[in-house]
Amino acid sequence: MKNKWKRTTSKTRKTLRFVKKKRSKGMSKKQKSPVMQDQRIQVHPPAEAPVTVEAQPRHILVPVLQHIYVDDKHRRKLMDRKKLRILVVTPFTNTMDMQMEPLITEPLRILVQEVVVLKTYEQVPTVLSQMNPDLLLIICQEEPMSDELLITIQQTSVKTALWNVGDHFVVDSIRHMVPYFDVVFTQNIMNIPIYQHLGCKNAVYLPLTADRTMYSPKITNKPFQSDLLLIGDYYPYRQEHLDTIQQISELKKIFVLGEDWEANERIILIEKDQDLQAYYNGANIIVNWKSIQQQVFEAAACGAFQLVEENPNLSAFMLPGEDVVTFRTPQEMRDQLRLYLDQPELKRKVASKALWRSHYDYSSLHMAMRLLDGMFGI
Amino acid sequence: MKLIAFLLPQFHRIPENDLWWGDGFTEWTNTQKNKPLYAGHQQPKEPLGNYYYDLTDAAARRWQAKLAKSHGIYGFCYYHYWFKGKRLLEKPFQSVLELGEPDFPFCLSWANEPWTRRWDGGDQYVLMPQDYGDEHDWEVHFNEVLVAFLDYRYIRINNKPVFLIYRPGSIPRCEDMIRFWNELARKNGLEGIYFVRTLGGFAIPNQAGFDASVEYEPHYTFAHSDTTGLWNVIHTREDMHHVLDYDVIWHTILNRSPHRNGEQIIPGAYVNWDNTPRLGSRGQSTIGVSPDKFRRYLTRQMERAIQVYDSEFVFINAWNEWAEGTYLEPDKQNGYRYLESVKRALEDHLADTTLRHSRSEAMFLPSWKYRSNNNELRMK
Repeated sequence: MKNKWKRTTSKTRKTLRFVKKKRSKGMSKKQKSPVMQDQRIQVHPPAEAPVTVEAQPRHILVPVLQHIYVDDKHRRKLMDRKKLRILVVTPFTNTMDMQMEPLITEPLRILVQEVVVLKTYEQVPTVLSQMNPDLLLIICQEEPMSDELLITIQQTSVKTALWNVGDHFVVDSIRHMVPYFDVVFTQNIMNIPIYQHLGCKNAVYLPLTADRTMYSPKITNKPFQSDLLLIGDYYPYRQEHLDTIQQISELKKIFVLGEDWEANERIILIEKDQDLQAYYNGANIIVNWKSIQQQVFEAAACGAFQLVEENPNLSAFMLPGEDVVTFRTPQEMRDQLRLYLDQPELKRKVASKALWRSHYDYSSLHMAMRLLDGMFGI
Repeated sequence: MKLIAFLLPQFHRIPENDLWWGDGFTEWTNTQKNKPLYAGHQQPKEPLGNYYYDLTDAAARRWQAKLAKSHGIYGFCYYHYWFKGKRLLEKPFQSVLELGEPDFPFCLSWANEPWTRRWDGGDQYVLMPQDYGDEHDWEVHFNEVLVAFLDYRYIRINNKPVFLIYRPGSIPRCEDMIRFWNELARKNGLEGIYFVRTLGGFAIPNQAGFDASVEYEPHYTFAHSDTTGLWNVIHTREDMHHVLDYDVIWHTILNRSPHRNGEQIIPGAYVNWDNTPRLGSRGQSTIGVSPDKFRRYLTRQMERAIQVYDSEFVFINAWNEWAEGTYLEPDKQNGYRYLESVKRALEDHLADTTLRHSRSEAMFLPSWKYRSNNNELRMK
């Protein structure tokens, strides 16, 4: 068109000059116009959109749209990680524990070059010397190790790590093993000083996550549905919590997963070794006193709403007020129960955030990345 | 799987709209005059073949039903406007009832909001107030819609006609009204009414009596989900204009926890969102929309309907909300692609479901019996 330039407005000419300038700096010609991209900033919803009621202060994020690019350092990090070879030992004797293996080894396989798995301690010295891996990772609960093997581990030049997957308490067999490893990964942040005292300087909190092939949102039948699911053993101090709960009339059907509770017309005890995902999916609200983070992750992966007693294990990964709600006293628990029973959308929002984050922030892949970061800084 | 699309009847003249919005006003008035606000903004939305239909025309209604049926839509959910004895925009639906055609399932959603100068039910200048009255008024209302409930085409769940209420929180004695309507239904030979509460862009109080709730998208996501990453701002010629990320909305919908007080939820889907025809740059539009993405997301939502919601229905917003940019009807830009996406999504869903069933069946058949079902395999 002959008079194309004359027909454009001065504003458009300014825009075109801006685009030309950007192009001369080496930006892709496929990028959209500056109006579409560079002038976009993220804001809170407009005034017309209804405002929801906020129960707890949440992190106010005002993200700014940024150009995302991969620099050399990051690229090297990814390439270095993919060169790694890991020898994993899973000497589980309990079939329930054996399910943990793919949860740990599968994401490692995505991240590193090679993962070799041994299921007994006996094979370790031979394979260790033949394979010469970058990392020897022992995953165990209480399975004791011979002194000969421990000395082999101590003397090897290979990096060694012990991931204790059952350490709510530190048992004697583990106490004996800890000093021989470079790094100990623990399920309980409060055990870190114990491990350090035992001689392992590098103790890292790394909880197991939910197995999303087992724990996911599902339809549940009536026998598994409840108004409230309590998780935790009975202690005298929790009687006040229970009294508070029983005053809330909407909580008619209460399941309890834990020891030493007494059943009554409202409280039903769940036997051990049950299909917990059905109870998580069937619960309107879960109150969790236990500090076992994996259990919190499992309920989150089912899209369940949880009130969790405050504990140090929680905040390392979760955001109280966003994907979980915490309480300290029976009164706080009561107030939160009341609030979220009256505001089902708010409850659903928190549960949805937990479900989202179980995919994108605290999945088994994220934990595997943390493990590698803890061992190698990559 | 049954896909139900919301249908807006505001495509014919009524005296009230002529008075309030100008002579000849229909939904097409705003859509036709709209202009793009920024580069890439797809406005005005124009129906394919310039088919600016009038819904009082039986041919238009037949065309809609035929098109919907041929692309796998199970039925329409007509918006029903009842203002304590006064109906608006009722002619198209009344004609459907009286003429007995098109032969296509339907149900009703009571759009119980006052009509105001603002299109979103705000109360700045009320053109038509929304009142609810008491038992006498409720009975008048019930008798008005009973003819529809008794029609063989009316969509039922558990053998009860489905009736949606858009804003139940606005009804002062909603639980009493629901109980009363159920009694009236039984007196008139029905087993009751299947009441469905709409989960939309407003506060939703706890109210008993509803059999299910339906997620009305994208409003439910706007109001009740984590909106981080949802909203952006574009500087237009006139103003700052809010835009939405199509994928972020759908990801939020598809990753939402299905649990809400243990109740039955019917999941929702949306085609697009752009209400700039109504509000200009004060409205919102969506970036990143495509028919193929819609197909993928709809397929996933249908899967979730079965697996986590135990629902054989998904409600789509909408069949023909042209002034809100969310419609399945063919337009000049995309032709029939959105309808084809629905059809393809249903085919994919059916194929997945059939495969899953045949696999689970094969697992439990003795091997000789399984082999005998397949002509290509020899008998063991």
